[in-house]
Amino acid sequence: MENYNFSEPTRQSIKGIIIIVLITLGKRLKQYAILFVYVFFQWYKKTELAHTYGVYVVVGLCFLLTFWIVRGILVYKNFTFLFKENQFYLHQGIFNKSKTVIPKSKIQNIHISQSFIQQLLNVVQVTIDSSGDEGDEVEIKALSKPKALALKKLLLDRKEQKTEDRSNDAILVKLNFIDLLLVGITENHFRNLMIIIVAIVSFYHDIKDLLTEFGTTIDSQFISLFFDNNLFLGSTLIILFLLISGLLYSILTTLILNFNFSIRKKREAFVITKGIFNKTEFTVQLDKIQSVAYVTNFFKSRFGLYTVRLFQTATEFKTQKKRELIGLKNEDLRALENYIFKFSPIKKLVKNKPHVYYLRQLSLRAFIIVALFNIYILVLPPLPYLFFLNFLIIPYVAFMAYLKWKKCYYYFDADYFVFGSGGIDTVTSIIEIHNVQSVRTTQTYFQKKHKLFNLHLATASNKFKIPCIEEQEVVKLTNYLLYKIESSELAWQ
Amino acid sequence: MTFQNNQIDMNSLPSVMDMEMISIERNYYKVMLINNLIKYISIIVILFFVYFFNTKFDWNRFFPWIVGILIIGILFHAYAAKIGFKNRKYALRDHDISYTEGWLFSKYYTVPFVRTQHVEIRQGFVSKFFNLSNIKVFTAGAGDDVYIKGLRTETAEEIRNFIISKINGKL
Repeated sequence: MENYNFSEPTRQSIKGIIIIVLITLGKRLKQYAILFVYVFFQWYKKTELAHTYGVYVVVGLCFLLTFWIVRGILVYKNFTFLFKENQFYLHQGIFNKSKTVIPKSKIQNIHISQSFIQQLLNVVQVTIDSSGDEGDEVEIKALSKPKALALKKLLLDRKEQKTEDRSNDAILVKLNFIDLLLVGITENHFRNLMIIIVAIVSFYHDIKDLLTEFGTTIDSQFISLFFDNNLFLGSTLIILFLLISGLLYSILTTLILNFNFSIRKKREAFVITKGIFNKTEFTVQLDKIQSVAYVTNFFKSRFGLYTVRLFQTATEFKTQKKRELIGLKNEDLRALENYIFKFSPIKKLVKNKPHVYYLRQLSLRAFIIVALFNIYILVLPPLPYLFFLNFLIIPYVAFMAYLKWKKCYYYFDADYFVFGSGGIDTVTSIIEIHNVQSVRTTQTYFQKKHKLFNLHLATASNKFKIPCIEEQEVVKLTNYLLYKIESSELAWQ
Repeated sequence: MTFQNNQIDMNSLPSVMDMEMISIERNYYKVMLINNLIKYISIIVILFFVYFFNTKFDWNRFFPWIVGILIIGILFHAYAAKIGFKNRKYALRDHDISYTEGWLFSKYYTVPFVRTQHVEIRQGFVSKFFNLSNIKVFTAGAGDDVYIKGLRTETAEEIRNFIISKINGKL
């Protein structure tokens, strides 16, 4: 192996510029995708628009592209790291310079991963996981593989035996293709479905225009006749097509992102491995877990499948999402519980329901949504067909209110509490009481009459709201929680 | 280690209901009024500028609405401040600090000192003239920090020192 000198400020591989630029491009494209589609749609309808403004748009885009490339070069120039006296230093930022220092002892793990683009450019990404308070992760986007390995070796020097020893790791869960397919199909597609329906309704006019145009421009007599006379059938077909492609898309992403999904058990951590193009590996430290949530839905529960979210200290939702454990069976959950909590909280669960007033609250909220929607239609009459959306919206909000009420419960035990929630998904959260950071009760003007309170608990990673509990109960719970937290010797992390 | 699992008598626990809540300083009401006044005056000034520099807009049509909304806003704010002010109270116990506020929506916060990250004293521009300070007790939690506004600066400092001594005592 070559010798690399990391004690001097080191830059990434020069290929890093390409990756930085491509990543920004990708991000912006994702952000403005809807806008692009819309503009394209308008241009398609009115070609004169493209003729008058096309030049400006192209010039503007070129300008933006140059800006991003220059920015990429500057980001690259200003991104240096070095390792000196057992500290890892990272300097970055063009105008706002920032400096990150991570002591070697705090470095938890180092992931080496490769996305599709990185594979093409023959570089790897190095992610340094530290146990800092802010959960800061350092990402070095482009290093040659030998250099990355040398860096990993240098940083994990002391812990090497611990991290490299994989023979002792027990594999907790491993999903094969069929399992994954099942997980993908039973995913909650309802949200995507709603988004597509809303999009169709709002672009209805445009779609109609497009269809008529399509019908007249295509030579085939059959198609033109078909679309001219069967506008309704035509749009139904398009809707069906969109729905099916939406479904396929979300199944495919599940398959690609989670290919070869496996969970390995280490002494004090889980290691999650997955992905086709982006082979990724995550480490979840047991002592950083603040709360655990089991998520299932109507279809998943038929197959006894669960998704497990492990909430860690100060982690963004996006990274949280990436670290979900998918496709777990009931017995896997019990094994997981034994490993994390050393007991099974679900076994002797007694479901305490909130006061029935909560159902009233939910119904009132549902009613307000419907009322607002109908007022909106009345005030803006040019879209009368929107009225028919009521047939979709009313059953939806009513059903959601019912589900929310049905799935809400809580249970307190000596050392933990369990909180059930969810609408379409069924969520079971388990929180150890010593991880609770603060206790808050709230009361609206209307709850005051019924002597009801909402109890809010915050951990270092998320919040819980138990709605509509009676006064004696809430006082009892608050007293108990505070007593538990304040008398406990256990630190929260 | 002998394992113990004594039953806890829920009724013998120290109760949050027994706390004696202390009201914040009376002068803070004035601070709130002045702050609201500054807010509304700046809105009016901005509207005035817009009025002078934008001639295309049909002002006469909207004028009564704007004035109406402003008056209702000012009155509602003053009323809410007056009623809500009475509910702004705090309490300090051996192991935690609590704060309550709100009129239409009342809130009741408690932060145990074992979970306190740090304490901060803040002072607004107007508060300075009345020798008032705000104290904020941070946890590592997702929001839900105790933020008590309108304490005498000396009291705020005493509370901070008390909490810090508690935190350090634990460590």
